[in-house]
Amino acid sequence: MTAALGRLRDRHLGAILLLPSAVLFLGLLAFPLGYGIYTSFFELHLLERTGPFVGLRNYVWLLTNGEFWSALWLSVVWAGGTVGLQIALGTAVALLLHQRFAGRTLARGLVLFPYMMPIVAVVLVWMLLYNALYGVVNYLLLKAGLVSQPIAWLSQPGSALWSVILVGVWKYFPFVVVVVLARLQVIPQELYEVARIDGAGAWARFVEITLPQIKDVLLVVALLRTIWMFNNFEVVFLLTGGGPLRGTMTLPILVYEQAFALYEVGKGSAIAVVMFVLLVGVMTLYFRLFSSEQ
Amino acid sequence: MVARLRTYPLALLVLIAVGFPLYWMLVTSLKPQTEIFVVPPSWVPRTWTSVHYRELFALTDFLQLFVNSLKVCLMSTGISLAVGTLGAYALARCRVRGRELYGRSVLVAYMFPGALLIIPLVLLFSRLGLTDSHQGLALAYITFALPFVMWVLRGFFRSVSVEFEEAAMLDGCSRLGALWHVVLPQALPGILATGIFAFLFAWNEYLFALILISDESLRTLPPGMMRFLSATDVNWGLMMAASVLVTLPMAIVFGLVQRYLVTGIGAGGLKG
Repeated sequence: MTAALGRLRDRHLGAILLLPSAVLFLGLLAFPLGYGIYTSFFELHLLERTGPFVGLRNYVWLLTNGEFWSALWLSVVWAGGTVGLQIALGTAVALLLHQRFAGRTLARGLVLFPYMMPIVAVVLVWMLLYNALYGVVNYLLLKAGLVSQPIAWLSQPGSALWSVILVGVWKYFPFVVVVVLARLQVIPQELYEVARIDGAGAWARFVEITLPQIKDVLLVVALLRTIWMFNNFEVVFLLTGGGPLRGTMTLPILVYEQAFALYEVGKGSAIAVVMFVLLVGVMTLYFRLFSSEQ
Repeated sequence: MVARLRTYPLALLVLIAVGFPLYWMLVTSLKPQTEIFVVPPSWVPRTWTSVHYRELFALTDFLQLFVNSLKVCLMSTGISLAVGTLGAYALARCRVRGRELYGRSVLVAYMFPGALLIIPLVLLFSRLGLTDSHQGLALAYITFALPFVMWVLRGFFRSVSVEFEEAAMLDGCSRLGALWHVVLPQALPGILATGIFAFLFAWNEYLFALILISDESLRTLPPGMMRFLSATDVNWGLMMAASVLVTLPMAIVFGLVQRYLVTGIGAGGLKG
């Protein structure tokens, strides 16, 4: 058997090895994707599973619906806010952990922890920290005199979105740390020595040497993280459910609401398809970037 | 020297910001209920108790949820690793037509939004009898685990030197023999690390598990744990005990293979 396969031409062997994955991709991704697009042209009820063909009506509904545009905007703020802060914080922490100090290995391990932690655990512990009556966040802010009375961070329209963004940053910034740290380790040390001889300060060395070196990696990480944060359902849904007053209703939550709370599968699919189109746009940008790099 | 003096306070600050929520989760799970609500907070528990852990196993179906999660995640990770390793090897080494296109499709699949897939999956799965089934949920997890495994391992196989394989084949090994005896042992740390991440993503997943399983005895941990959260009177000690235990497997595995993980991440990026 092995000998027979061994004599196969490279091309054929490759096709055989790829076959199982291709079957799974077609069955679990490509076909469902097509089926999802197909559903978006029907007025389909989740439980009855039948409904009339309505053409583009779901898309017209969506584009003329303030709810959709508001969710799109909130998704942009959520993705932009979390990614911007993740990149800034992640880069700063990576620079810090690149320094030599006692306990560095341990610190590098610990910093990864939030990324490994299950989302439900993250959400629950932050709910406790944010609690209005006995939460540590309120206690510390009151003690420091930054607020005059306890705030229900997750249930007030003014603070909910940013409170959720903070949790998103806490959970996902380690990804940026790891990638940037790996890149920092391969910057040639001579560059810094030359700059030091020229009398460049720490900030000048960062702007003139480090930043240009890590720029490409940062760009790719920003794109990847933007896609993932834009698609992220769990963090916001579990912390606020999209509220208060729909103030954190991002697109994935709107899809969930339409399809699984209101049983409007067609409308839910239409929103999901629009998300997919936006995603393909960003991916195209990503490939352009990659090919221009190589 | 000055730089050194600045490094320590900053590193300490970062460690507190990252570590405090973890510490708080752990100590809250070990405090008696009354001590959880005191203001100012009791930073170190005055009384230690394991009552919340005992309650978790005695009063809730936590153990059942844990076993269900384990089952689903092992299935999806196992299949993804087996299928993905072969596919990734082919993508990295074999001159098969359409290889670049396939690689790109894998990357696109790797970024697929769960919210897009869940609607067609639930419609199709219910027709095939795959809802309310651990096999069905495992299949749903393959939608993100397999592209992840293939993408990371493709990069990994590319970075493994071809010379060993060629040497083995000159010695009379077949192509598959070389894959089995030479390439896989070398790639094992990478495959292991990738598998751990694939497991982790499945272990953490909430949306598919919420929608595809509605039979309470088949529920998995993430949606199952959220059920313990009652609207009025939250038993925080119990919730934190459950959070500690759902995090624990990850923490243990992570501690064991930390070195491999960092190289695994460096090799191809991650999903999350």
